[in-house]
Amino acid sequence: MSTREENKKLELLQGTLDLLILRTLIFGPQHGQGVARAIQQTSEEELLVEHGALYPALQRLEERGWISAKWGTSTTNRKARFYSLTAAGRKQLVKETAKWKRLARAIGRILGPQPEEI
Amino acid sequence: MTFRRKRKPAEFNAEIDAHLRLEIERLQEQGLSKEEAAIAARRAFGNVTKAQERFYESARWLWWERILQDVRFGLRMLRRNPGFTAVAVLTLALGIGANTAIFSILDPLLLRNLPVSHPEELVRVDAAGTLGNIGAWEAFAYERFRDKSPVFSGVIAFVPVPFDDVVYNGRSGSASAEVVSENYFNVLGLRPFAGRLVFQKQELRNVVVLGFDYWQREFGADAAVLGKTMLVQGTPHTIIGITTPEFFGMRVGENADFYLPVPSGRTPAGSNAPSLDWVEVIGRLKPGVSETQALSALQPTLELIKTESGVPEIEIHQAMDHLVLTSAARGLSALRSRFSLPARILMCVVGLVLLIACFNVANLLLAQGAARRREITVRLALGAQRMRLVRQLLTESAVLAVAGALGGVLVAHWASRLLVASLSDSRTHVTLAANLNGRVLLFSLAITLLAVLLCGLAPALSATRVDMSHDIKTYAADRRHGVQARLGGLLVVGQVAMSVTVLVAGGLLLHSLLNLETMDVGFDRDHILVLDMSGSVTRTPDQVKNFYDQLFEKAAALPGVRSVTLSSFAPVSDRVIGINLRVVDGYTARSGEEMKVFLVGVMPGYFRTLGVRLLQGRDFVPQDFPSKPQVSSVPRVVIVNRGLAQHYFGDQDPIGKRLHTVEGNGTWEIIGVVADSKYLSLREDATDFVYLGMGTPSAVRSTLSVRASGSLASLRSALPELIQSLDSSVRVKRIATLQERIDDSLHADRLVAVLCGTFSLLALTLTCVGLYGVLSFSVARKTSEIGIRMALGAEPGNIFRLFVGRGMKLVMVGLVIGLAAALVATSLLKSLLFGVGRGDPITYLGICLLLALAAFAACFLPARRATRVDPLVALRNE
Repeated sequence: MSTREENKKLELLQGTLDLLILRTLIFGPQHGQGVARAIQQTSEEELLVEHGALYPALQRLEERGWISAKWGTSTTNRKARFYSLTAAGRKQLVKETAKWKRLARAIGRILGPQPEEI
Repeated sequence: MTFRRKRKPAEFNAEIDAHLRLEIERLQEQGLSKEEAAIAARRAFGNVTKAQERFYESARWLWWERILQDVRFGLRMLRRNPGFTAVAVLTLALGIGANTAIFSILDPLLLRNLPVSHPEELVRVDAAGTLGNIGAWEAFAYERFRDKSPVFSGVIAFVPVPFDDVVYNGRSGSASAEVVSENYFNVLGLRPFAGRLVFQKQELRNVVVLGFDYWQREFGADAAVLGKTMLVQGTPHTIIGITTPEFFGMRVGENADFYLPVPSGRTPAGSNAPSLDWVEVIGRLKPGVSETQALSALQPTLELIKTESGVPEIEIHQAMDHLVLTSAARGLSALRSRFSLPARILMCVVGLVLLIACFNVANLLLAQGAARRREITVRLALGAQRMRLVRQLLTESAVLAVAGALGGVLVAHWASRLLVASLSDSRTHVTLAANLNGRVLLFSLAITLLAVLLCGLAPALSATRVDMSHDIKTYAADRRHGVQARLGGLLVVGQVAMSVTVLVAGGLLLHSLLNLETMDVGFDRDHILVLDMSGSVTRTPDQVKNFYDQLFEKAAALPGVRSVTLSSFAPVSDRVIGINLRVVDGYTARSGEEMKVFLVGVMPGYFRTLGVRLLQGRDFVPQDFPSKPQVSSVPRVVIVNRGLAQHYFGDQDPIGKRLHTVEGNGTWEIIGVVADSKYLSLREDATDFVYLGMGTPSAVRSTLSVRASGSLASLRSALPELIQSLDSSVRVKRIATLQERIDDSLHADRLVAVLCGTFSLLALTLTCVGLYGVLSFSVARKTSEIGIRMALGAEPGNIFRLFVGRGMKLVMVGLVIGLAAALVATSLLKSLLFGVGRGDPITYLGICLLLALAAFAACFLPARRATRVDPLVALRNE
C-alpha cells in the first residue's frame, strides 16, 4: 500500500501528534483537513501524517478539554467541524513544548555535532 | 467520571466526509483530475473504517454500551427459556430474601449504633459480685457517678416503666416509657424533631417528651400537641418536645413511647409517681479515656458507694464486688442477649442456603452452557475473544441474580416484618427498626454480586473452554460433557454436604425443643391459672388479711375451681431469690464451699394445687403458721426439693434435719421432700430449692395459683374482676396458665428451632432440585448411550439402577462430608441444645434417612425417564 515516496517521509514519534495539533490551532480555529495540511506544510512536507489518524487524536484532545469543536463553514463554503484551543489546551501546549524542547536539546547534545557523512 | 453527551457516529462520519471533500478540492486546485484527487485524498487519509472504529472505541462510555448490549442479549436468552429462568430466579430470590431478612434483624440488634452523638463513648456502668451483675443502681449511687467521677463527661440514669393509664384528649391507653434523668437528651446529644429537649429544674415531673413513632401513632402527627397536656397515671404532664424518628430510647427492641424527666431519688412516701430510685446508669467517657482507665478511676467512687449504701459486707460481696463497664454504643437490649447467638446461627444457616441456591443456578447454567455449545463455538470461531464471551455469560447470570435480588427484597420486606412480629411473646412487645434501609440493601447488593460470581463464573469458564475443531463438527461434545458432568456432580456433592450440615443443626434444635416441651417440669402444665398481683403498700396487715381471706373464699366458689393457693412467685418466672446456708445438720461443708439455695415462700396446699409430687414427709398445714408471732426459738418448717435432699443428705433421711442460714440467722426444719421443679427457666440444672412455708402474707405482692377443671377462659376475666372488687389498688400484672408461661419461656428456642428447621428444609428442597437437574441433564445427554445399551439387551431395571446409582453416589459422598462438617459446625449450637448431645446419633441417623429418601425421590424421575427411552428413536437421532 505504501509507496516509496511516502517511505522517505518521517514517521511521527509517539505522542507528538497531540503537540503538533495544539501548536497548529494556536493560529485560530481550524478544521481537521486544515490541521493535516498545516502540519504537512509547516514541516516542509517532511512529516507523514495519515489523515485518518488525526481524528481519533482530535477526539481525544476534545475529551480532555484541551480543544473545543463547533460546526462551521470553510473558506470554500463547505460545512466542516472547526477545532479551537481552550485555555487548558493553551497551558498544555506551553508545558508540552517546553518538555519537547528539553528532550530535543538533550538528544541533540548526546548525538553531538552533525557529521558530514556517515 | 462524567458522562458526556454521546457524539453520534453519523456526525463523525460527516466530519470525515467533509475532510475528504476539502482535500479533493485542494488537490483539484493543484491540477489533478476529480478522479485522481479522490484517490489521492483517500490514500492520504488511510483506512476510513479504521478511523471510524477507533473513534467508536475511544468513546469512554463504550463499556456501558457493551454492558447494555450484554444485558439485552441476556434478557433475550432468559426469555427464550422461561422454565429455566423461573426456577433460577425463584431459587435466588429465596436465597437472597432469606439472607436480607435475617440481616435486617441482625443489623439493628447487633450491629447498628444508637443514633446519638459519638455513641462509641457511651458505657453502661454496672456492678458484679458472686450473684452476677446487679443491673440497676440506687439513686444515690447514680448521683455519685454523675458528680464524683473524673472520667465521664456526662452520666445519665433511666428506668423503663410501663404505664397502663395514659390519657390524652379523653382517650386512654397504655404505653411503655423511659423515666429519665434531666440531662438525658443533653448527654446523648440529641436534637428535637420538634419543640425542645432541655428542661428547667422546676419543670421536672410536669413535662413529657414524645417519641416520634408514638406521636405519629397516637397523636396523628399533630404538630399542635406541643404545649398540650397529657395525663400519666392521673398526673398532668405538658408535652414539650418530640424526638427524631431514628431514636427509640436506650433499649433496642423495646421502644420508648415517651420520656418523663424526673429528679433522681425516691418519690415521697404514698405517691405512686414514677421515680428514679433504682436506675440503669450510662456514662459518656471523656474523649480518649479507655474503659480500663475509667475502671481504675472509678474505683474510689465505688468504694464511696459501698460505704454509703450501708449494705452488709456479705451482700456487697454478692452484688457490688467490682465495677463492670460495657459499651452502650448499640444501646441496651434484653433481646440482644437472648437472640444474638440464635441470630448469628441463623445468619450462617441462611448463608449456606444461599450457597446451595447459587450452586443450583450454577448447575442450571452449566447445563445451559452445554446446550449453547454450538452458539459459543461459532462465536469463538468468528473471532470473539474468550474473555468477551465470559463477560457476556457472567452478565447473563448477573441479570438472573438481579432479578433474584429484586424478588429477594420483596421476600425480605415481608419476611422481616414477620420475623420482628414473631420476636414478641405474650409479655414483651418487640419493636425493632428492621426496615430495609441503605445498609441492608447494600448487604443484599453485596450478596447478589457474590451470587453472580458463584453462579456464573465456573459455568462461563467451562462453557467457553472449547475445542474448536471437535465441537464445531459434532452436536454432542461427549468429551466435554464428561468435564461438565463432573463439575455438576461436584456442585451436587457440595449442596448435599451443606444441606446435611444445615439439616443436622435444624434437627438438633428441633430435638432440643421437643425435649424442652415434653420434659418433666415437676408440676402440672394444664388446668392451672397463675396471677401475679401487686397492691398498694399502704394497706394495714388486717386489711391485707381480710383481702386474702375473702379472695380465697370467693375464688374457691367460682365455677370449676378446685383449689387456690398463694406463693411468693410461680414456676418459670425468670426469678429466683438466692440465700446462703451457714450450717446444714449432718453435712460437712468443704472449706470455702458456698451453700447457696433458692427460696420460694408457699402456703399450705401449694404442692397439691400445682401438682408437685410429695416424695417424703408431709405438706404444710395451717397449724404450722399460728397467727400470733412465732417464738424465734421454734424453727420455721420448710420443704426441700429432691435435689437439695440428695446434695446434702444423700441416702440419709432428711426429715427433721435443720438448715441454718447466713442471712437473718434463721433455722429451718425440713418436714418434707418434693420433686424438682423449674423456676428460673426450663434449662436450669436441678438447683437446691427450699420451700419456706408461710401463712397469710402481710402485703399483696405475690402469686395466686388456681387449679380448675374444664375451660379456664371464664376464670381469666372472673378472677381479675374479683380481685378488683376486693381491693381496687391491686393490679394483676400477668395472668397466664403454667403452659403459657412455659411457652413464653421457650419462645426464643421455638423461634430459632422452627426457623432453622424451615431453612434446612428449604436447603434440602433446593438440593433435590439440583440433583434432579443434574441427573435429568445426564439422561438427556446420554440418550444414545441408553439406546445402545437397550439395543444390546439391557433391561429397564439395569438402566434405572445405573442412573439412580450415579445420583446416589454423589449423595453418599456429600453425606459423608456433610456429617463430618456438621460434627464440627454444631459446636456453635452447644449452648442452645437441651437434652441432646451435638453428636446425637438419633438426629444424625434421622437426617441421613431423610436425605436419602429425598435424594432417591429426586433421582427417581430422571432415572425412570431413562428407562423409557426407545432404542430406535435414540439411535436414529444420532
